[in-house]
Amino acid sequence: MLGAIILFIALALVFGLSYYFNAKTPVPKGCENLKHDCSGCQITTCANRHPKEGEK
Amino acid sequence: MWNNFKNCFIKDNPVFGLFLGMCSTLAVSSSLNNAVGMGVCVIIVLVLSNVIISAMRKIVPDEIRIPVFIVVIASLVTILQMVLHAFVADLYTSLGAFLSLIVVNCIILGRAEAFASKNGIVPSLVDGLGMGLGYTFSLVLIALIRQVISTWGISFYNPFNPAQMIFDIKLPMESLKVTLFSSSVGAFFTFAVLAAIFAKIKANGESKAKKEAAK
Amino acid sequence: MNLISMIFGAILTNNIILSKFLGICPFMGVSKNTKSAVGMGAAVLFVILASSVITYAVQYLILVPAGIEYMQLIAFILIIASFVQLVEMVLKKYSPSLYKSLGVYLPLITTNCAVLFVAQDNIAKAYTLLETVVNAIAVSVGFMLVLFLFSCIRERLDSADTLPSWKGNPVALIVAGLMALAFTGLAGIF
Repeated sequence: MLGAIILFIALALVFGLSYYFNAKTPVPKGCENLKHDCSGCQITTCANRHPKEGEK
Repeated sequence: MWNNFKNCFIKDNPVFGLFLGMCSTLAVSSSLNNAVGMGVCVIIVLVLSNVIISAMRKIVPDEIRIPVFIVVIASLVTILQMVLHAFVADLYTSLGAFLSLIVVNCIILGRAEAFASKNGIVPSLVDGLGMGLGYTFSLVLIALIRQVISTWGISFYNPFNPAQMIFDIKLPMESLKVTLFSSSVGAFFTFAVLAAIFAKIKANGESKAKKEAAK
Repeated sequence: MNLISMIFGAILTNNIILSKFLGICPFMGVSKNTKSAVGMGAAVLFVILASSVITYAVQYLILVPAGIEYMQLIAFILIIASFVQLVEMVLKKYSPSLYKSLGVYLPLITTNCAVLFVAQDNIAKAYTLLETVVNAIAVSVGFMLVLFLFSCIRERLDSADTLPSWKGNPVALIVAGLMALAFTGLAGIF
């Protein structure tokens, strides 16, 4: 039981920190405006998302 | 708020209008029991996650909101899995891996991101309920069509007591059934036709609204 | 022979998109041009392979000895998501060219059904490490194959004359259904 809680907190911390540092890492030069054609995709958590106007 | 709730069924239907959560829709709609079971599970997870995330929206820093959402939803699904395994073991085995895949279901994460993290608790609850019911409605629709065409009858057994059938209807002329519809091909075709019908209904509604606004 | 039938099963008859319906979200979204389909396929291959191996190790070295198998779902999804974030960070810092070609697809794969399914399936079917690796590669090759074929068809489909309510996703799903029909014809070869 204790092992499960420790594992859970450890993994959540690893994920949170890696997500945070990844968001802070700048995209390499020349790659800033890579907008591939993902207009039909509905994965709202994708960091590449550029919603069209009128979209929720 | 109630307008939003009504829209979830036809205009903004999560499955046919917004095309979210297609993976689990296509896979579990082969029988009515699976469809209803999955729909109820998604409603529970969606409502609870919307409420929890909406309650936490002021204290979660903006940069790490996605990890927080994923952790909340994963914990909810694990608890749901354990509860189902204990009380409705038959549903647990027939849904199989798709129960775990509710965690990465686009509907739940999508609504958390788009709605629950920006609105109060009661609107989020209503939104979760609406989207969940819309999803269940679409799933039951696909399952009915597929089950009727592939086995030429409808049956539904009590999830808490699998030996007890609630209803079991067999239509006459059994040679008319098309067993293809119980396989993956049938799922794609049924989904495509229903998606086209919903798009047509949506387009008709929009042109009617435009005509009334122009008058 | 078991491995060969597993490979062909995963690529052709039990294809992860056409038979198991996993990975449909990016399938509908990213398959509009051939180059992005190949890039997406390569990214998926890398993520599925690496995460299958890592989750296999975590299951048998941490979860089972500690008796906490019920944490499998939470542990796997957090591991897969963290792994993707770390890889993206490494690519951004050390290899801009690789980032340009496949790094952009990585956020899409974080919550992809296929990755989590393969990770859990390997444990459920009690595969050895070799079978895990082979299964992961075969499933990703199947995914890439179907994505590539679909993108070739979709390039032509978008400029064809379809009825307005069928445009976009509905007609794409009909094409997917026809492809599924074609692939089921390959059952029974091995």
